[in-house]
Amino acid sequence: MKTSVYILLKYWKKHKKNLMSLIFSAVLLTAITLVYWLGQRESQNRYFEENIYSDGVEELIIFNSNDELRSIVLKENKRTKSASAYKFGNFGDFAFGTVDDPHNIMRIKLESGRLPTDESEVAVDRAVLNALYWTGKTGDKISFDNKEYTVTGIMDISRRNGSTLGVNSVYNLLDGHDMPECRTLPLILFSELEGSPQARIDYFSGIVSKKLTAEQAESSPEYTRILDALSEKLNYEKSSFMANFVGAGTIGGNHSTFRKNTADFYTLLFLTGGAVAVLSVFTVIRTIFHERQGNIAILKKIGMSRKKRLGMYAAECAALSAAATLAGFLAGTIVYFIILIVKVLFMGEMNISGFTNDYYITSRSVDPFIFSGVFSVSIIILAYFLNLVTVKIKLKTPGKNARPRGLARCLNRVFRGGVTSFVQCACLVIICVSTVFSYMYYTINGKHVQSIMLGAPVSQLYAGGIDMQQSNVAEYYFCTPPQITGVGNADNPSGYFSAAQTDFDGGFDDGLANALPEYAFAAGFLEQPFIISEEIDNDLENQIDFSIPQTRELLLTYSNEEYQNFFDEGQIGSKNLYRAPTCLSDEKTINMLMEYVREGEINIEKINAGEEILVVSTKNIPPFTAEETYVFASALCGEETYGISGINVSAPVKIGAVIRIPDSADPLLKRLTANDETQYNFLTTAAGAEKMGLHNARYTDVFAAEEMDGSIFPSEAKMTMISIKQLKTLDFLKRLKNAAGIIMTLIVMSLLGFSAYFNGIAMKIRKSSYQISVLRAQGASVSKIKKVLLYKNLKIPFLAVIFSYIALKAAQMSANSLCDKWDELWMSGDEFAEKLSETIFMRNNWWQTNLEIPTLIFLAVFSAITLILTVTSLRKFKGDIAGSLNSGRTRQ
Amino acid sequence: MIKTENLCKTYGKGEGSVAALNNASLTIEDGELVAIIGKSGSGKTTLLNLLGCLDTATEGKAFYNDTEITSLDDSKAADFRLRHIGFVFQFFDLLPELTAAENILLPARLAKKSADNYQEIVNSLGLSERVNHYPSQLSGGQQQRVAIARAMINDPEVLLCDEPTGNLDERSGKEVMDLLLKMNREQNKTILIVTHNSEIAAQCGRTIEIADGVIV
Ligand SMILES: Nc1ncnc2c1ncn2[C@@H]1O[C@H](COP(=O)(O)OP(=O)(O)O)[C@@H](O)[C@H]1O
Ligand SMILES: [Mg+2]
Repeated sequence: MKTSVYILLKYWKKHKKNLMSLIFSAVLLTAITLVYWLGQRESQNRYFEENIYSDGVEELIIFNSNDELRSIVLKENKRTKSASAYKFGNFGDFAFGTVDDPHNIMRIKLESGRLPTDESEVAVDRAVLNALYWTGKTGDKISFDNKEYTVTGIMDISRRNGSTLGVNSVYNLLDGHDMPECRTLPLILFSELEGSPQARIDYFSGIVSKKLTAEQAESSPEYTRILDALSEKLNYEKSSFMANFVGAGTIGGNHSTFRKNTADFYTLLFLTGGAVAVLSVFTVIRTIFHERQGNIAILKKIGMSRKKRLGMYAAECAALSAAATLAGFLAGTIVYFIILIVKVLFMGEMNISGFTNDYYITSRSVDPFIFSGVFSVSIIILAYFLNLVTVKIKLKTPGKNARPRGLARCLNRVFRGGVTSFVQCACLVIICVSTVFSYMYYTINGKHVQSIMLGAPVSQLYAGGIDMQQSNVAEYYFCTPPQITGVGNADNPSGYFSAAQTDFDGGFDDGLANALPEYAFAAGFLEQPFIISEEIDNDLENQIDFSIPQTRELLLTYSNEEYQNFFDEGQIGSKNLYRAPTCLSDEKTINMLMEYVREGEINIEKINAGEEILVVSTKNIPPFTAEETYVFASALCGEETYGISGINVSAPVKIGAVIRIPDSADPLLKRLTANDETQYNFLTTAAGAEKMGLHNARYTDVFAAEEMDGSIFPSEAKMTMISIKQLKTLDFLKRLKNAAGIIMTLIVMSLLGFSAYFNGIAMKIRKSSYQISVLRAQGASVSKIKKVLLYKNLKIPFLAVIFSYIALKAAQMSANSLCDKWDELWMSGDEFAEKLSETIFMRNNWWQTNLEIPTLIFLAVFSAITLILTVTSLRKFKGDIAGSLNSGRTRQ
Repeated sequence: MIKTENLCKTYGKGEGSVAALNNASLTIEDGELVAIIGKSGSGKTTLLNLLGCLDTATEGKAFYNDTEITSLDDSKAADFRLRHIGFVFQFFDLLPELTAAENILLPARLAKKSADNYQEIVNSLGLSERVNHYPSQLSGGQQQRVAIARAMINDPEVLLCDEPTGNLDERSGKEVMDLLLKMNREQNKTILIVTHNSEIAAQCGRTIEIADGVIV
C-alpha cells in the first residue's frame, strides 16, 4: 500500500500538468452537472413559489373528518400523505387549534420563529398580533382565553406579494365550511388541547401523479376509488366531500410547461457541457494511461501483481473522484450563484434559488449534489475502467513486401492524435453547434439580441406617445392627465357619455406655458367636451347615442337633482350631442401650425378669449369651414356617483381656422396638436378652453428639445420628468439584460472549449515531446515540425466547423420546411407537431437566421486559438535536444 | 575537420551544478577514426552531443571545417545534422510509431534525398528480414542496428556513435565494428566512437580519454 502511494505520488509529481488537466476536466464535469440540477431545482422552486405555494398542495380535503375517514383514505392509497387541523375554540374573531402536518401539506410559512411543540406554546398570525396591538417578538408571552402562551413563531400572511388570497389552506380552513363564525385559523397550538376538538379537517396530498391535469386527476382511478370507499362507508353523496384539485391541476398541468420554458438555457448548457466534459475526462485519462504504459511495464517487471496494480489505480481513481467531486461542488456552486446573480440583477428575475429544504420540492426532484456527485464519479470510474482495458496499442506488422510510407504519412503516424483528435473534433462540433444555435436562437436575425427568457423585444425610446430620439426630444415632463368617467351603459359605446372627473389636480396654465424656454412645448388633452347642436349635423362625427333606455335611466338615477331633467324637452339630452376631443397647446405651438392652415386664420387673442377654436386633422381636411360657430359643453361627473354633477355650456365659438397637418410634418408637432384616435379634433390654449368652460383645462405635458430647468414647475403642477438620457440608460440596461444570456453562453462555451479542446492540444504536444526530440535529432527543425503540427491541429477546427455547418444547415432546412407545413399539421391535430411546438426547436424563428457569419467567426476564433496554442506549446522545444531526448526516454 | 576550443558544458546552476565537460580542446582530421573512452558519467555523451549540435555549449566553440557549429540557430543546426552528421544514440531513439524501414529512411526523407544505398545498408546490417517491424518488436541489437542504419542513410561525412555496441552481443558488436571500420577505410568517413571496450578502442587510430569532463 505504502509503495503504491509512493509510486503514484512520484508519478503525479512528475506529470503535474496532466494531473491538472485531469482534475480540471473532472471538476468541470461535476460542476456542470451540479449547475444543471441546481437550475432545474430553481425552476421547480420558482414554479412552486409562484404557483403552487399560493394554492396549497393538498389534493383532497375532508371537512368534519375523523380518524375513521382518514384511515379509509390512507388504506385506499398507500402513497398519500396526510395532515390534520383541529379547531378548538374561538378567540374574538379568530379561531385557534392545532395542526399536525409532518409533510407540510398546508404550507405554513413563518415570518420568524418556529411552530410550537409544547402545550404552552403558540404560533400566531401577524394579522392577529396587529389586531391585538401586540408589539412583542418571538419568545415573548401572549395571553388569551385566560391562559398565557409563549409565542414561538409568527405566521406570515402577507408573504405572497401582499396577497392574502389562499395564502395557504390553513387560513381558509374553517372559513365558511360549517364554522361560519371563524375568520381564519391564526393561532396554532401544536400539542393536543384538553377536550375534543370542535372540528377537524384532513388534508391529503400525493394521491395522484403530479403530471395529470385537473380533469385527469379527478377522473383517475386512484381518486375515484377513494371517493367510492368514503361514500360507501358513510353513505355520503360524493359531493359532500370537499375535494380540492386546485393543487393537482396546477401542479400537474403547469409543471411540465413551466420547466420547458425556463430550463432551455440550462438544458442547452448541460447537454453541451456535459457531453464535452464527459469526453474530455475520457481523453485525459486515456492520454495518461498511454503515457503510463512504460510505467506499467516497469511495475510488472519489478514484480507488482496485477491485483496490486489494479488496487493502486483504484485508489488513485477514488482519490481523484473524491477530490474532483468536492472541488466540483465548490466550483459549481460558485458558477450557479454567478448565473443566479446575473439573472436577478440584470434579467429582472425574482430572487429564488435552487437551494431549498422544502419537502414538496425535495421529494419531487433530484438532489443536485447527490446526482452530480454520483454522475461524475461514475464517469470517472468508467473512464478508468475502459482505458485500463483498452489502453494497449496494437501494432499490426505490415506485410513483408510492404513499402515504407512517405514522409508525410510517417509524420502523420508519429503525431497521430487517435481518440484524442476524434474527441476534440466531436467536442468542437458540439460547442460550435450549440454556440451557433444559441446565436440563432437568442438573436433576431442576428441583429437584435433576444432575452434568454423569451419574448421581450428591445425597448424603443418611447415616452409621452412619441419616439423621443426620432422627435428630437431631450426631456419629457408630465403629470397624471385628467381622467374621465363613462356615464351611462358601458355595453353601448356610442351611448357612453364622458364626464370629467373632479379630482384632477396637476398641470399648469398659460402663464407658465408662456414662460417656458423657446425649445419647450406644452400640451394637454380633454376627452370629455362635446358639441351641442339643435339639428342633426352630418359633418360631425361621433354622435352620442341616448336611445337606449338603460342609458337614460342610469344617467337620470345617478345624476344630481339639477340634471334629472337632462332628457326633457329643450334640455341638453334632447339635443344632438357630438364628441369634441380637444387638444390644448401653448401659443407658440399653435403659431407653428400657420403653414398648414387650409381656411381661416389663427388669431391667438381670440383663441385665448374662448371666442375662436381651431380644428385639426392629420388624416384629411376636416369637414368644417371657418366662421362656422358651435356650442361646446363639458360635463362633470359626480364625486361618488356615475351621474352628472355639472355641465358647462359655452357661448357659440367660431372656428378660427381649419388645419390639415400633412404626414411630412414634424411628429412632435402632430403629437402636440392632434389626436390620433379620431378623424379630427379641436385645438385651443388652456386659457381658451377655460374661457369656454371646459373642465380640467390645463397643460399636462411638456416636450423639451434641450435639457431644461425643471424647477420652473411649481410642486402643485406635480410634474415628473423622463429624459432621453434616462431612457437610453434603461434601454442599454435592457439590452444588456437581454444579452446577458448570450454573453453567459459564450463565457461558458469558451470555458468548455478550453477544457476539452485547448487542453487537448497542449496534452497532445506534451505526449509527443519525445517524438519531437527524436525528429529534431534526425535533422527536422522546430519550424518544420511546427508546420506539420499546425496542419494537423488546424484540420480539427476545420473539419468540426464543416461538419457543424452541414448539421446546422440541415436542421435549419428541416425546421423551415416543417414550419411551412406547420399550420396544416397543427390544424389536423398532428400530435408530433403539437409536441414539437412545445420544444425550443420551434421557437424564435432560429431557422431563418443567417448562420454563415457566426460559423466563420467560430472557425476564425478556433483556428487562431489553435495556432497560438500550438505555437506556444512548441516553444519549450527551442533549446537542447539532448536533454529533452533524455527525459523523453525515461518517460517511454 | 572538427575542432573544439575550450568547450565547456555545465548542467544546472549554483551549488548543484555539474561540470559535464571542462575546457575540451581537440582537433580531429577528416577520415580519422577516434575512440572516446572514459568512465560512466565522465562526459563522453556530452561531448558527442555538443559535436552533433544536440546540445548547446556553456562556453567555448566548436567548428566543422569553417562553420562554427556552436552558434547555429535551430533550423541551421537541423540542416547541419541532416547534411554532415550521422548520430548513433546509446539508447537507439527510434520512433516507436514507425517501422524499422521508416525509421531508417526518415533522415533521407527529411533531407529529400533518394537513399539509393538503403538496400545495401540494410543488407550489410542483416536487417532485411526485419525492416517491416516496429521497434518494440525488435531485439536490443536489432534496434541498435536500425539506429546505425539510420545514421548512415544520408551518407554523412561524420559519424558520431555513442556506445554503438554497448547493447550488442559480442558477435554482432564485432559486425557493427567491422562495418564502421570498413566505412572509415573505404569511404574515408570521420568516425567518433564512444566505448568502454578496450578492444574496440585498440582498433581505432586514435584514443581520446575523458575523466570527470576533462580530456586527459
Ligand atoms: N541533462 C542533464 N542534467 C544534469 N546533469 C547531466 C545531464 N546530462 C548529463 N549530466 C551529467 O553530466 C555528466 C556527464 O554525463 P554524460 O556525458 O552522459 O556521461 P557519459 O560519459 O556516461 O556519457 C554526468 O555526471 C551526468 O550525471
Ligand atoms: Mg554516455
